[in-house]
Amino acid sequence: MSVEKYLKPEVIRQISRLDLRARFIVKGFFQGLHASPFHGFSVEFSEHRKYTAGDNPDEIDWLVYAKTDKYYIKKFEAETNITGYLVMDLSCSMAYTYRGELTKFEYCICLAAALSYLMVQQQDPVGLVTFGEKISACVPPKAKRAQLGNLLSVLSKLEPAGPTDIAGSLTQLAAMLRHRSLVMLFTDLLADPDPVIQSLRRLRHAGHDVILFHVLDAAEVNFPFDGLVEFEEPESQQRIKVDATGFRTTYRAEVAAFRQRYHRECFKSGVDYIPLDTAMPFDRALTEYLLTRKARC
Amino acid sequence: MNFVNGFMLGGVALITVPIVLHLVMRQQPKQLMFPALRFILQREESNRRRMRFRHWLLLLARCLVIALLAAALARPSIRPEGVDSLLMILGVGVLLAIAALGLALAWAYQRNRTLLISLALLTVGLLLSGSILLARWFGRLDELILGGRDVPVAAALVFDTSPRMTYRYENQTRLEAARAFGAWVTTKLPAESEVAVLDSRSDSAAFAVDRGAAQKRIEQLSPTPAAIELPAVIAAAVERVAESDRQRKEVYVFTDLTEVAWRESNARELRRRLDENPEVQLYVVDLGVEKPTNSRLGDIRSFDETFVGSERLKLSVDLYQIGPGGPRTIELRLFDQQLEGFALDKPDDRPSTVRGRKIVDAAAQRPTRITFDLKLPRIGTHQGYLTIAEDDGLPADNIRYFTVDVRKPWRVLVAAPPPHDDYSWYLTEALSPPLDEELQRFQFTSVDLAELSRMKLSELTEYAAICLLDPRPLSDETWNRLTDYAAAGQGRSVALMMGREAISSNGLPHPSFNSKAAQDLLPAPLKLRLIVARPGVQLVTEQFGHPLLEPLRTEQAATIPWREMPIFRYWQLGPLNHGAQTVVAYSNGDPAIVERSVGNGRSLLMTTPITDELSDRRHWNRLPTGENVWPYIALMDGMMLYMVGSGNDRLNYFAGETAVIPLGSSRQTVSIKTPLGGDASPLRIDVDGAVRFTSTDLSGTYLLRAGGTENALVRGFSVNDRSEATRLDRLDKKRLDELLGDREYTLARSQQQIVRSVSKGRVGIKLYPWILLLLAVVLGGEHLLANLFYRKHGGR
Repeated sequence: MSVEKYLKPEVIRQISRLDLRARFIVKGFFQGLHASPFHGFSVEFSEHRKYTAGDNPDEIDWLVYAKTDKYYIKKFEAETNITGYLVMDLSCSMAYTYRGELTKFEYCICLAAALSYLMVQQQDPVGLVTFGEKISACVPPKAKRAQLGNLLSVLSKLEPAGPTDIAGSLTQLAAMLRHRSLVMLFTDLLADPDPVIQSLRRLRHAGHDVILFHVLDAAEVNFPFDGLVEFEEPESQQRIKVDATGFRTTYRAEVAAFRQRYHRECFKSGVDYIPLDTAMPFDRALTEYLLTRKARC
Repeated sequence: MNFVNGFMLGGVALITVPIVLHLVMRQQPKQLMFPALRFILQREESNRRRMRFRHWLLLLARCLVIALLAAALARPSIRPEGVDSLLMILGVGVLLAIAALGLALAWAYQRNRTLLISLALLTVGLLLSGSILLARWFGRLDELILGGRDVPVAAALVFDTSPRMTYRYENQTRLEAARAFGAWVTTKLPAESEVAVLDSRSDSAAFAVDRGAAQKRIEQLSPTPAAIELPAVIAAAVERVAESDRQRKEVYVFTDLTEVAWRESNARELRRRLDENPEVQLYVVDLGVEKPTNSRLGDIRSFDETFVGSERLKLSVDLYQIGPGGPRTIELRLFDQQLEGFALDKPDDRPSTVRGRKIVDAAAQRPTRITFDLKLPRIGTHQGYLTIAEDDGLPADNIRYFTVDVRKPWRVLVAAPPPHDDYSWYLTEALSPPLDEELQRFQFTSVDLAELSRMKLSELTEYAAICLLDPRPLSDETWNRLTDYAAAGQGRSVALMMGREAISSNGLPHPSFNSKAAQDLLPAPLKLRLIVARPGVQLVTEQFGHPLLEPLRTEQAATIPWREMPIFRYWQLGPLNHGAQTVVAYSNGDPAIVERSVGNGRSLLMTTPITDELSDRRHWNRLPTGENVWPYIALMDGMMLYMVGSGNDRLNYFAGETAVIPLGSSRQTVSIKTPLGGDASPLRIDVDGAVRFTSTDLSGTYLLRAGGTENALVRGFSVNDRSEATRLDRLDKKRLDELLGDREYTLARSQQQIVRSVSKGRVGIKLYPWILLLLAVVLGGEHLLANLFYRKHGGR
């Protein structure tokens, strides 16, 4: 069976161990890269091969030539390290799942674990920050192999609960970070967008690269309800009756407008905005990470 | 509108159930946690409106389902004339529903102001139109309500009982067929119905006590010679049933559908009545024969009913044919016993003798004229008939009765100055030529004026008329006697032809002529003698329609050579006395002959004499001495016939006319024997003894006896149906449509057609299947809406 299947949330859901989840996701991701335009970004193995006519002479590894007097092409070697922060939203809305499969938070954990795995593999220092109404936990970034275990251990113990203040937490985070880092934010953005956008701009202004993984439940995107439904908001307990069937189009338009706004604002600020839902495969997030990393290299 | 199960409409009240359910038992929504509520909250208002709209829509659909179900179970039906309006209302209703739905959708989903306003205006417009139509429809609801198949009706059965209906076809007269059909209709009317039976005899209608009485009345229907025109009777029937408080009103017309039965003259009134009473259903039952075959005698053409024994009886009649023709034998029969027939039961049972027979070839294209000419030697009243010897389907028009009076020449007293024979020569010679006795209608007695003055009134009354030629002044006593003579008799007249003898010594008229006694008789006083320069004036008769001028009404009437008979002198008259009128004038406008009624008689004054000889140099005129004297003779003939009252005695009448029979003197006991037998009494006996008899319904010969058994005066007269009334030419459907205007009616030839049409008319068009169809559509819509709104969450 192809390991690509591990990119699917419903498959990953069946694996309970987070480290395995991370590994399978990454393996599945690289397996799927063979035919993708990202070939060449594999950083798992660094290798040399003999130069043949037609190869790019820029890629000749001159150090090897000096040692062996033979032309070798340098393949996929990382030159610089990026400090990455996995920033997890712990609001109780992140615990929502309509279909009873992966919650938004579990989806984010899987992604975060996979990214941690990937980064540790590339000797990139990676840390973890979680926040609710304010930053609640922080694992400093390290590039050691043992870091992966720490991260996965912390991630697996996280539980979403209570209200959240995304904008405040991001502002706090911006103040915390000393060096230019890659901030990977996992949130459902169910808050007033203006302050959040303001905080994102602040992060960017401090020189950080930001990837915003906007994770919503598939039901929150597609609104698959029918008939008369009374919805309750878990954080505020606010209730409202809705003729769901007739409201679907309006709702979708509203969500699309919301995402579009973030997309526009993030584009203006240089933030990578990745809209996701819990039914989407994980490779989208990993690809985004790699693209960002390439831009930094 | 009619409901078979009207009580089922009560089920409409059940629409309260969904309304209560809607208000009280709202559906419980499914409870779900949903973090992304903010996206819903932003559209909360539109969401709420949409939900409300859908709820109301569903409620409406459910109420409609119940209402339609109740309406369908009530099994409504509607009059055909109400369908158009109902369809229009439904059409507007559907458009209104679409517009309202569009408006609601636009309100719930869109916020486009222009669209909202446009749809709102459209909805309001349609609502107004629908309301107006609905109000009008409800206004007419009383007309459209039929009240069920068994609800009593007000029905009028109109039978054409004209003689035409005695046409026999397939061994049944049309009237028998109509009676059978009518009796059948009465059996089919719901119990407690009001039924009126009308026939052509009268246009007054009254409802029978019950259906049995109506059937008895139908059985007693008989042909009516003096038939009232059918549209008038139908109009009366429509008015009668319209007055009834029964909801359903029906008029059945049993007719042979011939042209003469449906004349335009009364159709306008019928159309008006039908338009005023649109709720009245009209059923025309055609009992006529499509291609009838019949020979018909026309009315006997104008003939002298009273003539002198020396004259010949000339009768002519037209033979009409419809259908295949052929040789027909026309006979003229005279009753052998004339007035002695009074002893018999029926006058027409008298034995008769054929006095003329002609065989003609009857053709449908044109009438054939048959003329009989015979001499009736015996003085007295003669009765007889013309008949077609061959039998055909309609015997009523195969016979035409006639009565003629053969009498002695009228005695006329002519008084003139001496020598009176000379003076009267121009008159007596013109009208009673001694050489031709057969032409003598008048027997003149010429006397001197002095002799006239000595004659008693009883002597004078032996004469039918008195003629004074160029009279000299008379005594008041004589004037009074002449006035009494004229006033007493029937049609007795005194005529004066004024001439030079009236001139007094001072050149003016003699005072005797302008005395009160004279003016009691004369039409006007004499004013002065007028002398007209040559070539004189002439008589003008063309524009006068007086009976006196009857003999001058010939084909050459327009070219009567009066110019050859100029008048040079005449008496100018003063103002005409009361009751006087000019009969003939001169070409300058002055009166030439003036007439005045005096009691029962009349006096005539001719302002120029007829006594001047041609040799007289001062002759007043050349009337009797002109080159072409036939107009003079015709004028005198007409004048004398008028004076003796020959045209007064009518002996032949059409059915329905009032017969007036002069008896000569007042008689107390008068009895009349009708063709049916039995004696009838006259309506009125005038002071002058004339009998007026109105019950002339039956064609045939009538006999009249006045006075006791001894010295009784017996006279007779004839009554015929109008020949035109038995024309069998069929009326086509298009013409009937025109006669009845835009009015819907049913033309039926069979009982099945009537059953079908009456059923449709009473029960109307059944709306049951259409309501069921609508119910199915609404039910489907309700199901769809309910599924759409309250669909479970995908079964998950």
